[in-house]
Amino acid sequence: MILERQEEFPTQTGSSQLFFQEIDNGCMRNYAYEEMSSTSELFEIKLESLLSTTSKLAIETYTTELAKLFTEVHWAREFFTDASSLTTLKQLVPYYKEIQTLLINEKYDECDTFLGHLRTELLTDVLLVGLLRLTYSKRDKIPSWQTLKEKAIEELDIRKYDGSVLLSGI
Amino acid sequence: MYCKKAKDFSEADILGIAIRLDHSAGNHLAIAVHDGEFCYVIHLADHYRLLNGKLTDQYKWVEISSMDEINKMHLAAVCQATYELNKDEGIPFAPCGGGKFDENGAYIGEVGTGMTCSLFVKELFEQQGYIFINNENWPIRKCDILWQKDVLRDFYAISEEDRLLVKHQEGLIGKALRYRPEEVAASVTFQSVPNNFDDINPISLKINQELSS
Repeated sequence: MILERQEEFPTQTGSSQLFFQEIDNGCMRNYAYEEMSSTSELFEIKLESLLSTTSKLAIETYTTELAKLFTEVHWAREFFTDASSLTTLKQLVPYYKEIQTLLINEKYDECDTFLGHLRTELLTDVLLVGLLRLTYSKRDKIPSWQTLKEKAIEELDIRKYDGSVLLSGI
Repeated sequence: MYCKKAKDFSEADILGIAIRLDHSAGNHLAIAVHDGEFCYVIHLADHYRLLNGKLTDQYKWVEISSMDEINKMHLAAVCQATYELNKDEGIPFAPCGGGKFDENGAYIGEVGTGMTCSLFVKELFEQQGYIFINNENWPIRKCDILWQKDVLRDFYAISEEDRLLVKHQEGLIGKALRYRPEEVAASVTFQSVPNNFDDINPISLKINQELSS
């Protein structure tokens, strides 16, 4: 579900209101807090840091499920911010370990939310292939996997790659 | 030439198969990785000794011919992440195998099972969908049975778990397929994969010659 204007946003200690400003062909939504409670400072800081990089965030749409993911999966927010620049081994390995751990712990709903919100045009080449391969074996438990694959093939085609070769075997 | 010198493994190569002569136990196989700054090998060195060490001159390396840069980078990241997930608990060494990685990179194996250095590489690659060897018609050779027996005879079993491993592995002798290090190395040299024993074996013999020369 996409959050609407003035909808309640869950925080660790209660809830605060936020509002949205639609940008970028309606795909991305900017957001900010109103009436922040003193106990919501942690979220305020993190969301403000996202605001400055909204146009580079690899998020398709901001939803309540994604908000929940951000509260439960500590590295997810950072991943969406970094996704367009993750190309080297040193950058990739920490996130690969986290995704593997997510699957080992059978957090399939979280993995589904994670994959389902990815904005493929902002993923690096290796992530377009790697995220699908890394989660391939659990695709039956991750409904958004197939959609991500279709979007990844379209994006690889735009980038002049042969998706059937890069994704061979999956 | 299939084998290249360790010093020629560059940042652009990203991922390769490292192999070295080990006169006491045949060849030894590892995964060569270049992280942009350093090159190193990830390998099952011994019983419960999963290591990440330097790519020394003792090693030569073989290029994975069928793999593009994007998939090499992905698989290199998987290898490093899988190493880090399993390094503390380690992986049992077992000449007749039986252990596997689950789809998420965690080692899984019943008591009595394990891996060889070659199986570590083969299983890790296959777990991500990269299949280089067609198992059908893979032979069980007398010299492989002898090797498996020798390894188990010399196995220093210090725990009850180790003794169970030896007992279970002895029951697999003559049934378990053995993939020699040079055969797994040879399997990645093809542009089109997977391949069967008849295709892989001649190249593995050449790799052996190159290692000895």
